[in-house]
Amino acid sequence: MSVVEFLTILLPVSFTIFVMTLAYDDNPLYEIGAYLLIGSSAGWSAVVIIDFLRKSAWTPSFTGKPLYFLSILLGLALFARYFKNYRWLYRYPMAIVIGTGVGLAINGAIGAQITKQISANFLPLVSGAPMTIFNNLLIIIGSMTSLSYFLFTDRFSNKYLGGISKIGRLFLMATFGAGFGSVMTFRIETIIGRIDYLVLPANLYYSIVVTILVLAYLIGRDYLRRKKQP
Amino acid sequence: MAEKKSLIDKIQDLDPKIIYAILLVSLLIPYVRPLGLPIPISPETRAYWDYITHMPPGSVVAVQLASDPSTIPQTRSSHQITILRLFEQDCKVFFFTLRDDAPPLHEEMMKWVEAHLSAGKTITYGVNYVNIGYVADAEATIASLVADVKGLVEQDAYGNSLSSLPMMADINTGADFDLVVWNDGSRGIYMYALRQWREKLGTPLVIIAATINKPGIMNYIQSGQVAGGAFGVDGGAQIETISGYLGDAKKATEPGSLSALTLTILLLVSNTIYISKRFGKQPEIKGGEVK
Amino acid sequence: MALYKTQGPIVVAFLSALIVIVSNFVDAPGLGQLSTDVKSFGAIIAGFALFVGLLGIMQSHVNNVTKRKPLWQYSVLLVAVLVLFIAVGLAYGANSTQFLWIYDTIYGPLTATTYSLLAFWVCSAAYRAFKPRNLESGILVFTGLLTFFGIQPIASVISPIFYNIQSFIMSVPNIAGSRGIVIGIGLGVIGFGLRVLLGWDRSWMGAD
Repeated sequence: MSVVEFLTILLPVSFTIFVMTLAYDDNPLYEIGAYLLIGSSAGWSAVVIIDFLRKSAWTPSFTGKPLYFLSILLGLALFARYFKNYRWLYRYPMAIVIGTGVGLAINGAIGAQITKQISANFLPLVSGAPMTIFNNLLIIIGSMTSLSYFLFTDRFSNKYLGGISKIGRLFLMATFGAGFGSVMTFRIETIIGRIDYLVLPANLYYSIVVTILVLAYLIGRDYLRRKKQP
Repeated sequence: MAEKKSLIDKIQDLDPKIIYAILLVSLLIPYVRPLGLPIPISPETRAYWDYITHMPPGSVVAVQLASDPSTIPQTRSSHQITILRLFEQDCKVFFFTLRDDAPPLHEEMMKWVEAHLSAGKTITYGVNYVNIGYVADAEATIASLVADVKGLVEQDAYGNSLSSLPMMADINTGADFDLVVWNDGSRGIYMYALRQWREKLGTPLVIIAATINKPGIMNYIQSGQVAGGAFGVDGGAQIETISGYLGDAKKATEPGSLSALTLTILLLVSNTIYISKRFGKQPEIKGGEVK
Repeated sequence: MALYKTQGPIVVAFLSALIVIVSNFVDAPGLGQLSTDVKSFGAIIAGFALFVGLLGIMQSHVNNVTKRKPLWQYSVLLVAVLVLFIAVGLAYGANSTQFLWIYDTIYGPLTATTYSLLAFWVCSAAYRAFKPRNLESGILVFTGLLTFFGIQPIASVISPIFYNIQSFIMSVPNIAGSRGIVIGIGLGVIGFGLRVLLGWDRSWMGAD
C-alpha cells in the first residue's frame, strides 16, 4: 500500500473520530478538527468561487460583454468596508444585491407564497370520502386561524379574534412538533452517514485502531487531570 | 447532608453522556444484526417517482444539487437513481449546483450512474448531459439562469464553451426545460426554484431533500406547486424499493429505526415521570421527612 | 452626510428592484436583457461577498498568531490548511485529482462529522426539555414524537397505526399551520421589501 493510499483512509477516519470526541469532552483533538474545518472550508470556497467568477464575469468582460467588467468593480467595492473613509462605497454593490433580491422575492412571493397558497385552500367540503372532507375542513380552519395569529394589531381587545388566534396557535404547535420530529430524524440520519463510513470494510480496521488510540488518550488525559487536582 | 436521589429522579436527570451512549449502541446494533425491515411507500414519494418515470424520451431535465458531505448520505440514493432512470429513458440532463462543495459529490454520483447503466447504453458528455458546475448561491442566479442559460455562465464546469455543446443548441432559457429536479439537501433554498422557475414559467418541479425540509415542502406538494418529493434516507429507501435499484439507503433505515425506537421509549419514560410528578399526589411530611 | 453616501445606494436598490419587477410584467425591447444583466450582477456580487468573509477569517487568525493570543497554535493550522487548499486549487485546477483528494480526505469528513454531532445534542436536549407543560407544549411534544417515530420502517412493523398517524400529522395539521406561516412570510416579504425600497429600512447599509 502506498503512502497516499494509506493517508486516503487514515486521514478521513481520524478526522471523523477526532470531531466525534466532542461528545465525550472538549479536547485538543476536537479543536484540531474544528480549526482544520474552518481553514479547509474557506480555502475550498475561495477556489470554487474564483472559478465561478472567472466564468461568469471575467471571461464575458473580454468576449463581447464589456459591461460585465463593472460587475467585477462592484464586487471589489465590497472590500471598501475595511477602509474607514471609503466605507460608503460598499453600499452600492450591496444595493444591487438587495434591490435584485427584493425584486425577485416580491415577484415570486405574490404568486408562489400568497395567491397559490390561498387558492390551494379552496378544498372540496361536500364531495368525497368523509375522512377527506374532515381533513379538508381541518386544513381550511387551521390555515385561517394560524394566519390570524400573525395579526399583531388590536388582537386582544376583541375576544373573538383572540379566541380564533388561540386555535391557530394549536395548529402552529402541531407544525412545530412535526418540524422538531423531522429535525431529530434528520440529525440521526447525518450521524448514520458517518457511522456507515467508519464501518465500511476498507475502513473498519483503521476505525477500530484510531478509536482505541483516541479513547486511550482521552481517558489518560482525564486521569492525569484528576490526579493533578488537589 | 445531600439528599439521596431516587431512581425516578436519576432517570429524569440522566447524564447526557449516558443518552449519547444509548444512542450510539442503538445505532450500531443493526450493523451487527440486520433487522430486515419492510419499507412503506408514501404518496409523495410515489408521485415523485411516477413523474420521473413518465418523462418522455428527449425531455430536457435540469438537475440541481445542493447537498453537502453531511447530507449527501441521505439524498444520494434518490439523486443517483433519478439520474440513472432519466438516462435510461433517453432524457437530456443539465446539471448545476448551488453549493461550492457539491461538485465532487456530483462527479462521484456520475461514476455510479455510468457503472449502472443497462448493457449497451452509453451517455456522451455534451450530447446527453452537460454540467455547468457551481453557480453562486442566490435567487438572482436562478432568475438569471431561467432568463438566459448561456448568459449566466459561458463555459461549463470543464472549460468548454456552452454554445459548442450539441445539447445546448436548443436550450436558451428556463422555458426549454421539461422538468426541474431540485436536490435541496438541508438548505431550504427550494423557494428559489419555486418562485423563479415553477411560478414564472410553469416548469414542473420535483424535490429531493433531507427530512428536515419535509414539513415545509409538504405544503407545496398539497397545493400542487411541487409534483412530488423524496425525503431523507427513508425517501431514498422508498426509491430503491419502487425502482428496484440497489443502494445504501435501505440498509441505513435500520440504525435510524432502532435509535428512533430507543429514543422514543426514553422520551416517553421521561415524560411519564414528569406528568406523574406534576399531576401526582402532594408530598406529605411525616416524622420530619418528606414522603 | 453627502447624498451619494446615503441616498445614492437607496436609489440604486430601488432601480434594481424596479427593473426586476417591471420586466416580469412588461415586455419592452431591451428591458428583458437589462433585467438579466442586473440579476447576473447580483449573482456575481454575491460571489465576491464570500471573499469579504474570507478576508475577515484570515485577518483574525493571522492576528492571533502574530500576537500569540490563546490557542494561536490552532490558528497556524487553520491558516496553513487554508493556504494549502488555495495553492493546490489554483495550481492544479478546481476539478483536478489533487484538489479532489484534499477535499475527500480533509474537508469532506470534517464537515460531515461536525454537522452530525448535533444528533447527540438534539437528543439530550429533547430528553431534558421536551416536556408537556401545558396543552400547547403537549401538542408539540406528542406530534413531534409521533412524527419522529412514525416515519421509521420499524413503526409500521410494530403497528401500521403509527405510520398512518405520522402521515396524517404531515398532511393535515402540519400543512394547516405551515400555510398560515407561508402566507404570513409572503406578506412580510412584500412589506419588508417595500420598506427597503422606499428607504425606510436602512439596516442593510450598515453604520455610517
